[in-house]
Amino acid sequence: MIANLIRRWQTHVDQPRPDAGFTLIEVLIAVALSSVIAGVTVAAMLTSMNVIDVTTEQITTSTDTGLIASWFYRDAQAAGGTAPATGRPDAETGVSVLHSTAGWQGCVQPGALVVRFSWTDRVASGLDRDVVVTYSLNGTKLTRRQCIDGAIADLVLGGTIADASATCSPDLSCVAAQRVSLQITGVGERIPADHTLTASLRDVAAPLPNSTTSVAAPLVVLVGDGTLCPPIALNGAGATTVIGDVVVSDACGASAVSGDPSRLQPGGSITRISDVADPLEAVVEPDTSCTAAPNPTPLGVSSAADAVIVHPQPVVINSALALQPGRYLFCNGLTLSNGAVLTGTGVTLIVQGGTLRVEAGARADLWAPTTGDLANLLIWVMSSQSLSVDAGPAAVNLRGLLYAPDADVTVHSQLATSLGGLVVRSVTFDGPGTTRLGLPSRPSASLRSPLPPASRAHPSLRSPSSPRAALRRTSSSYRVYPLD
Amino acid sequence: MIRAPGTEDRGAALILAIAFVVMIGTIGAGLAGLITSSANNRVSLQTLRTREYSADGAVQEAVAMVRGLDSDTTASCSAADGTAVSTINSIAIRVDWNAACSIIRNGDGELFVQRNVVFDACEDVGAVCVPSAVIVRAQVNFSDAPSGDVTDTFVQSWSVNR
Repeated sequence: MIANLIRRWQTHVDQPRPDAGFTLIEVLIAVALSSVIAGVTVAAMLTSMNVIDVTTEQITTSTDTGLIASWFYRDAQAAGGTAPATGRPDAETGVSVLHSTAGWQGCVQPGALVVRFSWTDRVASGLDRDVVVTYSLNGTKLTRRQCIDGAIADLVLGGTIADASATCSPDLSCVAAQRVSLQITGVGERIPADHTLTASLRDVAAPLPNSTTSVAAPLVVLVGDGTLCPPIALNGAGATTVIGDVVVSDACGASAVSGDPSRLQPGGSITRISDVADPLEAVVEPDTSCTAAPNPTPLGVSSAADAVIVHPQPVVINSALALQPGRYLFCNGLTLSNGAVLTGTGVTLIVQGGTLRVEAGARADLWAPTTGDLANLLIWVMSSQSLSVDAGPAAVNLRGLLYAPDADVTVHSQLATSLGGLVVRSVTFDGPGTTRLGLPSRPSASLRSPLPPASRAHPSLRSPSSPRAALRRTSSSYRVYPLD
Repeated sequence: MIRAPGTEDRGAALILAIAFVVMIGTIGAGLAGLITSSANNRVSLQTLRTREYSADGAVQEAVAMVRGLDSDTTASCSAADGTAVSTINSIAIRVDWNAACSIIRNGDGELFVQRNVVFDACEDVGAVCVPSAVIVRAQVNFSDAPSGDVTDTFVQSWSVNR
């Protein structure tokens, strides 16, 4: 039957017809076929367009993420830092995700804060620059704003970001965080792009120096306004031995020492530093005030190691006095006159006003605290003055720092003077005796080694010509230190 | 297609062809623009990254170099500044370093000299790095043991500026 139909259709087709149109069947078949093809094509086009939209959204977000990543990692790596003046992490810099004023750190921009990075760009000239970078999401736009000393630079990193948030780990507060992660969600509705960027943060907690990792600096000369140059004068006949480096500000130029330079014998070197920062600047003054009240009696009594004993009136000591551990504040000066024998352990003498005088014939044997905020701080002279430590015929042993940043100090050694260290504006060494600066300052009668302990900590010297080698040579002359 | 005798050309095919060409041309131009823009962005970003990585590597190389210098003389706190030029990723990077030493107080209240050095890295133009050209600036602490050896190095600050 089918063959018959085909034959008839063939006959029908083969017959020449004057009106060569399409039959209804042909049209219906064509319409049906066209509908099928059109349907498939439209469906394919719609699918493609959907895929194109989704793909375009994802590619756009991915491109944004790539750009964000390139800035996010470098900012994270720069964040934080170590304060050179303290060797401790700089608390003013780092990472924050707090939506607060502290979080923005002055680099505010429109939108919600996502994350903030800040650091200090340390410049050799000392003109350090504080850098703050904030990432903010405003609508679908993620913007990086960089603020450097008031100058602002914006950079749009992404325009298709629906949500962005940052977290620190393992410390969520970001203070001691090791990593920071940024979660980014694209604006796509059907298949939103979702990316997480994780950057490591630099470890800014450097180990503090000690006598095995760094060279001690028992003599620091800050130099200041009105300081006569050179700031170190060697006018005496005796040697001044420094167990470590001598550090002096280069404000006076290349000439740091006057007098006979051979009498200054540092174990390390004489180092000139531009604008040397006061290493004790951060030490907080006792929270007390001077009044017109009489001095406490008896002198030298303290209730606790961190108690502050205020002496409103001038104090003159001319006999034996043992100080109990504590912080002794002198509002109008302290004088150790002939006959004074001042002893004490764990004490800090703070001369807030007036002058400090250690006269010839006075004898002192004082130990600074070993812990706390005033550790190793034995004498603190706050005011500007000319200060004289006259060892006279007796020995003066001050086991701790004499800190007088605004004072010109004269150390007159008649016999032998031992100081834990000096941080002063300028210093003059005179007298016929020797002076020794550096820890440990306590000499021992049973000292068998020709070298003091601090010197023995320098066993391997790289070359005989090294200045550090001088320590061994000069220190070999050490035999006896003044005894109490 | 059998055309009826006497039928004129009405230009439908030409219009369709022109429309098709215009559409394809528009799509092509759009695609070309997108590709060009993406390529330019990629090149810019790659150039930026390459320069940054080169400066990064040059600073690290300079840190290693300074570490090996004599801390008593050429690399002391009082010593003159130094310079090194490295070619990394086909980019010549100049690193200038300057001493920025300090004194710090440890937990026991003792004072120690800290040998800090500031490194400035910029593209080498045969002159000292000017501040605006610095790509990476870092301050590094060198722990000088009393023996004279450097026991440790520590990055105190690291700033990518360009």
